[in-house]
Amino acid sequence: MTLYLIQEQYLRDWLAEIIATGRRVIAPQSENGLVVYREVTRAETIDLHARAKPDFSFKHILFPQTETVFRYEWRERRPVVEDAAAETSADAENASASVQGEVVVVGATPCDAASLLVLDHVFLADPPDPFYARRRENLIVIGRSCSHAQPECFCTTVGLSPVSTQGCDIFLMPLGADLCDELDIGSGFVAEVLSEKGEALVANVKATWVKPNGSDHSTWLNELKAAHLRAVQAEMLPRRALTPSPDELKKDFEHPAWEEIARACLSCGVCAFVCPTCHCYDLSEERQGRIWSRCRNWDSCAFGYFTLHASGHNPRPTALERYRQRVMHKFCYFLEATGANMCVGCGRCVKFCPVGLDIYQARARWP
Amino acid sequence: MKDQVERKTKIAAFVCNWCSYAGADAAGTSRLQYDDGVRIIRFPCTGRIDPLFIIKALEQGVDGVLVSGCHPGDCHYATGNLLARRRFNIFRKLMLFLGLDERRLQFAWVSAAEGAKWTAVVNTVADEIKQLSGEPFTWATPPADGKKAQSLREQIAAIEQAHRVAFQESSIEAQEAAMTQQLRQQAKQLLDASEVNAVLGYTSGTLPQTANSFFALSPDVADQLVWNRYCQTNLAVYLTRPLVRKLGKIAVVVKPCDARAVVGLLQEHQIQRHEVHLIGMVCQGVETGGAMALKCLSCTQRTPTLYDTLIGAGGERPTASSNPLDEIVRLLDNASPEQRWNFWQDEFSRCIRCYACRAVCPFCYCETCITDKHRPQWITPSAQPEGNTAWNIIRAAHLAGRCVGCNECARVCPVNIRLDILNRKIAIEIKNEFDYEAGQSVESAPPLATYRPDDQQEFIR
Repeated sequence: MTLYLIQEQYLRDWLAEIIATGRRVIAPQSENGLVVYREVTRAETIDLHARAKPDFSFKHILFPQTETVFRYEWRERRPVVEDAAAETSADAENASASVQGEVVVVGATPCDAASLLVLDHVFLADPPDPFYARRRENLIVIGRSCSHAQPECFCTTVGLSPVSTQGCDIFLMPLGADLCDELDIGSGFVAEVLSEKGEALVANVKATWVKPNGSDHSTWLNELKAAHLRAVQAEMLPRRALTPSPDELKKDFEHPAWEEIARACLSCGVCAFVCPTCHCYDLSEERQGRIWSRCRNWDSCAFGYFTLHASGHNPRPTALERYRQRVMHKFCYFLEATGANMCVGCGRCVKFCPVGLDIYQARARWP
Repeated sequence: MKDQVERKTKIAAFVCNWCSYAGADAAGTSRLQYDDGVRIIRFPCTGRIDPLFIIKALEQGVDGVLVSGCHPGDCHYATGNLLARRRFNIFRKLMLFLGLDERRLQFAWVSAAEGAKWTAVVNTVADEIKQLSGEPFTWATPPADGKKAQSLREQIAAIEQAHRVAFQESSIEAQEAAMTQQLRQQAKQLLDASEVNAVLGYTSGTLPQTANSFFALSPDVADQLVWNRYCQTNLAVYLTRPLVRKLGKIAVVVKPCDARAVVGLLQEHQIQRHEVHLIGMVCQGVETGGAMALKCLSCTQRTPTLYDTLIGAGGERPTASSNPLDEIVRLLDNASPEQRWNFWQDEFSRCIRCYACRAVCPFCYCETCITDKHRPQWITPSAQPEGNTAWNIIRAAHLAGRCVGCNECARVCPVNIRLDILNRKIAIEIKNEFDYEAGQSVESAPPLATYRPDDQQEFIR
């Protein structure tokens, strides 16, 4: 890890340079009353001091909501796959090692960046998902610390924090005025460069990026992070940290509490669709004229047909089984398989739930 | 002209077997000639022609659709075309509101004897559609930069801003507290006396200024019930859910709009009156985004139309001088079809197909929703303009004459699609055409499930 101090203006210049080199830059942008990760063409529009986290994560960059796997046309009673490689190879060409193929996410919140570890685990496991793998290879994540919590935030209960750097290639943290004075850099940021991708991205700007004096930076950096964490945590609801307890959850699989919790669930897909870590998808065939496409679309375990068998049997017939599955997958099965929760505590599912179901509360019935 | 092949105008003609199909046949046997771009698809009756068929045809690239059946009174099934007439009247208005050019969707009555009329109708329709444009009709084209819809959006925001009413916290909080106490008492009584097995109401949400759905199954948890301006969810939606049905008789807390939904469910025989005890709340309106919800500004009902016990009494309530949703509908009505099409395509393009709109709707109780069916697949599941447009149209169309205007669908939409405007537009048309308002009386017949011999049919050739 390399550490840099930078003045805000130099940071902006650097972002402008990244855009100028032809990389796609994605950053939180306001759109129709929502804040979403969208491509930006001007560095000035990037908000380096955003108070809130975006309404949706940047999952769609790696795992689009709808993606055509291949197309085919019926000719003389047989499907002729329409140059299956055409689209993917164009994509690949676009995404080949050149900088043009690189996508840089700027201003990813710690929760969104950390969700990459979950998605990587799912999509890069053997055999890797070619669509995801290609995009992931070209993705560079510049994270930022959170300066404020929103009411729904609970990242500190699932092992993350407003200053966690998981999933980031570069992590930015604004420096307080006093620290800026002390370090004599005006208003600025501290940047932790955490990976080779990150190093490559800062390779040309080192002149304006200063390495702090002295050899031991861990003390003030840790202090800075601790202060940050304290400030943000004071804004969060008082909630205890969840201890990994997959066995407890499993033991109570048939517990009547599940019905009590799930009775209010209306079985829409909002929670899964706004979740940075939810990754289930469905394949469907779609026709436009004579051309058929096999599409991969986001799916949600809350939907009744998610587990509907061809026979008509449905192993998860009601909201009870489906909501339980959602909680169990996130805090039990995935945990067992990987050692980590499949939840980054962003709270979007709580915020967007039509009836205010709170997954933290559901999970917190157990240790 | 040598290398420029004239594109054929494609018209899908949906006709009933007994009259119009026979009429077309008569035209053929009489050697009458008509436009050869028309493709005839035969149905048992116009009553069988679902708006979905029209949507699908347009989506798959026809330039126009012609629907034709028996003259009123001639229906082989007595009333099929009379019911269809009402349905198509409203569906057509919806499509025009979305910005479809009226020449692309046409209707006619053609009897078995009217070969000449069939010929004339097809030729006229074909001519009109040809005038439209040389370009093939594209079903779903969201404006590339979203800018085309910008001015309408800004005007809508201005209307909303002008009608913004904030709650007077000092006066409403005391009232909320009093009603909460009454509600808890009532719930305890009902549960103690085993009159109901559960009381479905609201409890304070985990996030500030929210209220969540809450089931009190025993008197000792009744104190968790609350009543305040954040109680937004229309709890009538739970009455048809399997996990709730399991509870047997329950009491439900209803605002006036929720009570209208209960009336609708009773009208449609989804629940029975004795299965539910209604705790009606005198409503002061609900709050979204720091101000009174749009639907409440124009709502004239403070007391539910239907209840078993009533909680709360009088009290001032700010009301708007006019209905902001109606103003927005008028604004769109006065815009050009192209502007409207751009506006709605921009709205629908954001749809992520989470179906929260469906989940919160008390009237979306179908066991299998049409959008989940894939044999045949009427609505493509991808979150792409084609399927998004089809889904949002059919959702609105299925609720025509049933929607009680609780606008929960619009509230819960994570991408803020203005479903409330669509709902309101249809409600206005239903009122104009059939003098009907949804959810007012259990005895009245839903407007699209009935007909009158003299229903309006100016739109039919």
